Amino acid sequence: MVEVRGLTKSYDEPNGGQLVAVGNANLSCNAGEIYGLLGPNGAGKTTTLRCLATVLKPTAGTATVAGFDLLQHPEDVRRNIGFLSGTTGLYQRLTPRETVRFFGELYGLAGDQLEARVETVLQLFRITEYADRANDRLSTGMKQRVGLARAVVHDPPVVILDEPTSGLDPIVTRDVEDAITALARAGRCVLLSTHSLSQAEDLCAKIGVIAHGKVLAEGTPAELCASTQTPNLRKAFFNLIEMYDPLSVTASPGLSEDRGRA
Amino acid sequence: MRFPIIRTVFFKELRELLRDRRSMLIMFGVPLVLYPVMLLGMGALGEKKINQLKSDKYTIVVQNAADAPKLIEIINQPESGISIVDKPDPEQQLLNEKIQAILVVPEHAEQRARASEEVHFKIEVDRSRQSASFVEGKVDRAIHEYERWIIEQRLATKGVPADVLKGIKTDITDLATSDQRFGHLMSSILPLFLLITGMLGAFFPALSVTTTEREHGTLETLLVTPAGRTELLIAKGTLVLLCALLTAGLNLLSMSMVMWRVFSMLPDNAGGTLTISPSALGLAYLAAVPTLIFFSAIVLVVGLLARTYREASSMATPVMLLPVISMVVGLAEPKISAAILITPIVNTTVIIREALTGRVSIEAFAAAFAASCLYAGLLVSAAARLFSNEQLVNSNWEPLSIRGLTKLGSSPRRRLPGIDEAVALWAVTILLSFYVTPSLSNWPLLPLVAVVEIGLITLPTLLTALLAKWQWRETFSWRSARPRDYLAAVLAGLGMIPIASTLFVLQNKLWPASADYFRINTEPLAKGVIYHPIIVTLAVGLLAGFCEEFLYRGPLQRALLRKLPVWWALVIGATLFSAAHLDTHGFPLRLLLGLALGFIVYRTRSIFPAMLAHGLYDATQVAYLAYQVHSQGVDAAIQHASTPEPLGLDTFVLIGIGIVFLLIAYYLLRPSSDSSQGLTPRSLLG
Repeated sequence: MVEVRGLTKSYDEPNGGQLVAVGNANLSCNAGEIYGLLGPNGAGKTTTLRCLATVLKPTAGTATVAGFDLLQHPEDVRRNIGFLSGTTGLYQRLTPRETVRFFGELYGLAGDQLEARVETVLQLFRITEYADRANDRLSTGMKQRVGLARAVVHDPPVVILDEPTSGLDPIVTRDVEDAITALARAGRCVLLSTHSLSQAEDLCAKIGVIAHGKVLAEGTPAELCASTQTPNLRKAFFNLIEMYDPLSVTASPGLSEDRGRA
Repeated sequence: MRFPIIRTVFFKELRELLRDRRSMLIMFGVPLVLYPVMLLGMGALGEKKINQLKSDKYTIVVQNAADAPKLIEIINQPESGISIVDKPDPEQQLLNEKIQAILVVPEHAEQRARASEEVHFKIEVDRSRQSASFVEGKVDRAIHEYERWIIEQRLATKGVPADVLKGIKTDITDLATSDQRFGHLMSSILPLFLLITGMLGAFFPALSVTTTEREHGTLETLLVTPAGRTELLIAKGTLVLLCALLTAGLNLLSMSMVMWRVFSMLPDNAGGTLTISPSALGLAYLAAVPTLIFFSAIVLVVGLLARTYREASSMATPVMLLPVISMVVGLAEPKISAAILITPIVNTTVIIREALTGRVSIEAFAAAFAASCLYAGLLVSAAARLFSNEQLVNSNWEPLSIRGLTKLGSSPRRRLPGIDEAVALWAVTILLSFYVTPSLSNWPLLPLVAVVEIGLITLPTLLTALLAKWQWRETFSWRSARPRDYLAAVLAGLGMIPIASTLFVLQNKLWPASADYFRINTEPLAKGVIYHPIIVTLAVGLLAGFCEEFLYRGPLQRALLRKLPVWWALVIGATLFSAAHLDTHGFPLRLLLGLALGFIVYRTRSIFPAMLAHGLYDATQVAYLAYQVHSQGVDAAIQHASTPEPLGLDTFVLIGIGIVFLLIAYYLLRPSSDSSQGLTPRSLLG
């Protein structure tokens, strides 16, 4: 479903140099699978996902999403993905129903098919109760559900979620995680970025650890533990980060303490 | 371009806008409620106050009244509007507003005045009071009547009949129609209101569809849908423009009706009834449309550049001052000139004024409209460029900060010019030419040509190329050509001369130019070649050949060729080249010349043969004029230029030679069989 090969995104620097946000990233995710991009802030997770959503154009390398090449067929890629950015990305003056319907129309749904699909996702994410209330009057959790509903209104084969539970309370986080699991069970390829090691361990069939724009390792949680000879994903993650850039871990007292506990 | 997507996005934006009370208030509340209430209220209050002040009877103290009994008699008449009281300490009474004026009568005033002595009456008022001017006027009228009576008395004493006082009366007839008079009153304020309200109307919707979307993260979600960026921008831009047009239109209607009512209410409404001409208002509105597109694009650009709503608001403050230009122009009331007609905002203001006063000509309207459309197109293009920038979703992107500008300027990548950039450069050279050249009209020919060609054409082109980091070689076709290309250029440059001259003679028969036209075009050159004819000839050829080709067959042609089919690109490039000479009568010939030169660059992939052909063409014409000036004198040479020679046998021989030259040139310019020359059209598209 998603095959990333040598994906690189760099920016020109004022001094004539290049800032590499993502360098030569490789990853793959199949239908029915949840792939977690795990990494610290500024690791390149969002840039990778934005490249896959065709918002950013890769400087080198490419990827296929649902069988379509990013560079050759960007519109087909967009048609086959559902994307939830780091923010909920909702229009404040629209209601959830209007929001979902608007995005359904943009994806080419119309008439009864559109209305049926709108009702389906509103029920799926338990939004019906407040579907006609303005988005700016919804709680953060409600907004996140509407964001998810909006992203999958066209029933895409690939769903890309950028930190979908960031800033949510544990109850809403569990709801969102359930929704993500449901999407994968329904055969969707789900690609998500997260900071949460436990979330990645619980949800993801495959994890890519990313730091400084590089995918340091990829595999199931067990494979990552085995390759780093650590007992759990937490230790595997810190081990990988430390191997790549020791300063980034040891320089942070909080992180060192965390490692000691784990 | 998919209309259903544009429609979907447009209606989503419209729905949001209709729920935005602030935008609604500016669009509908201000013109439909605020103006009428404010202006009509002010007008009614003003009218009431003025009437009251006029009808009020004012109280004055007359000091030494006994020495001017007739004056007291006149003041005491009921129609004088003044009543005399006797109060102690009149000055204090005046300051306390117990009385409105003090009239001081000099000693034995009436007696001395009747004896033909000059007497001075003194009126004391408190001008910090609103009533001062009214009481002053009333007392003045009474004294004037008294003065007339005194003069009649003097004349009677000398036995002269009072008829001698009959003077000359003047009747002023205003030929302006009532709607022209109203149009004139409106023209000082309407352009500013039309533009400023249009811009205000566009402002909040523009920020809502750009900055707010970026800030709330909704733009990113929109960009990952199948909707293309162009479709999104069209939908958003249409809404913004619609708001600008609607707000400006409503304000125009409201303002004209309210102003008409207010002016009609005033007692002295410019000498008669005032009427509104719907056609003049319609034309004024139409004239403003391209500038409203221009403003809508500006606020869209501001919205796209700003990272937050707050940043956009602060950036918009100086932008909002742009319509004030129209107020300055309204005060200055400049005469229509070609330069005015192509200057953004100024041209719209002037055309609206002309439309409102019913004096607009179709040529002036078309020129201003076309120029405004060009600027609007350039701004829309800038908005489209920004909207296509992938950094739009990056919250740290700050192109307008010092850091952002440094990043923009530091990009090492060189690129080819876009059509919008090249056309903007062309517009700048034209504006420079319009504004700078007239001030150089007294300069000798050579410095004048040098400044125009180098300073107004080459330097802006070079500067733009450096700032925009254009690829030098590809943009300017800066590469050597084959020897046969240079030979072809020589033959083309010379061969075009007899054909161009003959075509001009034929054109002049169908579309005769005035004698002034020839004098204006020939005189400076003819005077210039009196001294140093060879140097002038060579310099004109070199400067025109190098500098004009540098811009027109350089970035302009390259940009057009990148996006348009070859012949479209060549024709549009030649049209811009010809238009830049600001010579309507010479337009067709220069169009053909531009086409030929464009074709030479297209075929040779080098700018140098075209420079050679252009230089030769111009230099030969100047050399021929120099020969005539030296053999017949300046006046005869100018006369000769304005009286085209009849078509004779020698003309046909010269045309024949010209055609042969051009055919040989065309043959020589054929693509080389050597593939390394790469002269296929595809290879030239960049």
